[in-house]
Formats: sequence, C-alpha cells, structure tokens
Amino acid sequence: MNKKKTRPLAILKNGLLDENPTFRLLLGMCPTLAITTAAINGIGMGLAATFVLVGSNVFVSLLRNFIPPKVRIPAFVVIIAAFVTIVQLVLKAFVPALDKALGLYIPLIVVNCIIIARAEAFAYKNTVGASFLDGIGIGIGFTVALILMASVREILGNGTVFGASLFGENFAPALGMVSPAGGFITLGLLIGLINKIVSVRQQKKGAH
Amino acid sequence: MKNIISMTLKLFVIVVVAAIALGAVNYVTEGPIAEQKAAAANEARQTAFPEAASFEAVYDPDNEDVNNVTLESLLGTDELPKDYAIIKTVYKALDESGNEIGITAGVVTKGFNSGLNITIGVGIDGAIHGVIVGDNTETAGLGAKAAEPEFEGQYLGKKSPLSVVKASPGDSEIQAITGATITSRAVTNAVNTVSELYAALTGGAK
Repeated sequence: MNKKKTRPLAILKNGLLDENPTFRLLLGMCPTLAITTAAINGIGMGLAATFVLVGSNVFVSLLRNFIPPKVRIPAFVVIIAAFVTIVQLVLKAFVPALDKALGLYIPLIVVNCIIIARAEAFAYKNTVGASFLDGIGIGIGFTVALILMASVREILGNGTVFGASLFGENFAPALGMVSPAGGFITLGLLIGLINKIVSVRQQKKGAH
Repeated sequence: MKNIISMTLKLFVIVVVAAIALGAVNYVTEGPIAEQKAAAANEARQTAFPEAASFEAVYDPDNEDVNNVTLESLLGTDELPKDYAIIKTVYKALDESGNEIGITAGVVTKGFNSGLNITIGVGIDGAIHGVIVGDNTETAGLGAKAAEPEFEGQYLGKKSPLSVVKASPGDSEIQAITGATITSRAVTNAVNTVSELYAALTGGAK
C-alpha cells in the first residue's frame, strides 16, 4: 500500500488495473471460476460484490479506532457477515426483482475473500471517504474482470454474449469453454495479458 | 491481563450489536419475505396450469391450512415410493365453478446439480398442462436451457410415461437438450413422478 496520501481518482483507478482483484491480486477465484459462464452473471455478481464491499469498507473504516488490532479479523468477519445477511433479508423482503437477479450471488459474497482483504489492507488504515472510494474502485475492477472473462467463455462456449446469438445457426460452440477447465484456461490467459499490459505501462513510466 | 479483558469486551460489543441488528432486520422482514415466497409459488402454479381459475392446497408443509397432511396420509400408505421424496407441494387446480381439473406440484430434484426447482401441472386426463423450470444451479448454456420455452413446451399435451431421446421425439418422447441429457432426464423423471402421484391420488379416491 502506498504510504503517500492518495488522490480519489488514483484510488479508483488502482482497483481497475494495478490492484485488480481478479487479475492482479488473484482474490475471489472461487466465485470467479464458478459464475463466469455467462456475461450476465458477471454483472450480477460484480454489482452485488461492489455493494457489499463499499458497505463493509465504510463500516470497518468507521470502527477502525474501536476495533482492537489483535482481534480485528474476527471483528471483520462479524461485520461482513452481518452486513451481507442484512442486505440479503432486505432485498428478499422489499425488492424481490433485484433479489431474483442478485440473490444467487449474495451468499457467495460472504466467503469472497476480496471483501475481508480490502477490510484488512485498506479500510482498517484509511479514512471513511478513501475506503468508500476503494470499495467502488475494487468493486468495478472485479465487475469488469468478471464480465471480460464471462464474455470470452460465453462467446466461445455458447456462441452468444449477454444471451444474444452472434454467429447464427451453423456455429458449433466449444462446450469445454463453459466447463471448469475452460474457466481455468481463460483465467490463465487473461492474467497473462493483464500482467503484460501492466508491465509495459510500468516500463514506460520508468523510461520517462 | 487488563488488555485481554478490554479486547474481549470490545469484540463482545461488536458481536452483540451485530446480533441485535440482525434480529431487528429479521423481525421486520420476516412477514414480507413469506408473502413474497407465497406470491412467487402461486405465480409458478398459475403458469404451470394456465387454465385453472384457482388453486386449493392439498399438500404443502409451509401452508397453515394443510400443514398436518403428509403424502403418506394422502395415499393411505406407510411406505412411499422413493421417487416421491422430490415432491414438495401439491395443489388442486380448480375451474371457475370449483371443479377439479388437475393438479400442480412443486418439485425440487437433482439435475446435474442439486436444487432444481420445477412446477408441473397435470390435467385430470393425465395430459401435461405445463412444466416450469424455476430456480436452479444447472450449468449456464447447457442444463440451464431447460428453463427455456423450447424445452418446457415439448411437454404440453403429452402423457406420462415419457422418455428422453436425442433426436426426432415421438408422442411420448422428449428431445434432450444438447449436452445436457442429465438435466433433461431429471425434468422428465419429475414429470413422470408427478403424473404417477396424480394417478395414485385419483385412484385412491375411488
């Protein structure tokens, strides 16, 4: 983590590329591999995770002077689990349409290590405002990564993207791409690609 | 020592506050959640049996009117066929003047993954009136296609026992979804089980 005071825009951008949770920090791999079989799932999971991430970051940041350092992890777990459960109950009771779209992903978020990683690495050491922005940045980075990965798998494995058919009737989809093996292959190739982009960018910066 | 006590107390405070917040939210949302669930189930029944004007609970452990009814007591037997365990609710479908025109059954079975929810409507003559695949965790792009009208529509008007074939289905056959034979079979077996149950129920009333 940077020691210097970071500007809002830099915090947001950090989550998108340099500390992209999926491709750079390799966090939350389990839900990533499981749900990226269709691009629409990426949006659902991404938005639900962003919402929870912002909420848990703000709560942890608010309580950062109250939580004793030695028991911070159990405290984070309680805060995150309580927050996720409250979100789930409220969605189920009052916004059933949203619950139908996101409901499947919310229980997965409790075990998503991105949330606790950001609580530990960022929110516990930064102000509420910065933690809020970090939640949005990391959340959007996660969403974009999921959509990217899910689009590749959906296009190759099913011939569609966001459910819209791309190639017509004669296209024979590579079914393996929507299976777990295809998930690992896609993930590996995309991690390599993003690493290349980041290292080229860093070399450019160094040359100046 | 003092440190440990203060640490424990602070963690305890966090846990207590979280527990109280959860309890309060649960208290407020419990009623609306039950209503939403009942409304969703009723909607599924209506789509699975479009001709019905109303439904009457026969077997539904969550419904207060019939919560002491079991499938065993309905069929007058101690030992249920094992397949019947997938049937979670049974509702009578009634026409406008209150005559029974069939049943709908809510089923939770296992396709490629567990938790495959299906609502099935069977007419009094044994013909399938509707098969609605609801919440499921089948593979997207493969088994999840069971929830699409092209697959569900195949069942309309057909009579059990149905079997699954890979191509050119006949009158008592269902064409499997490409790459998802297991899911197709699970749905078809559920339809057969519900038809069987209905036959047993009407037979028992004789």
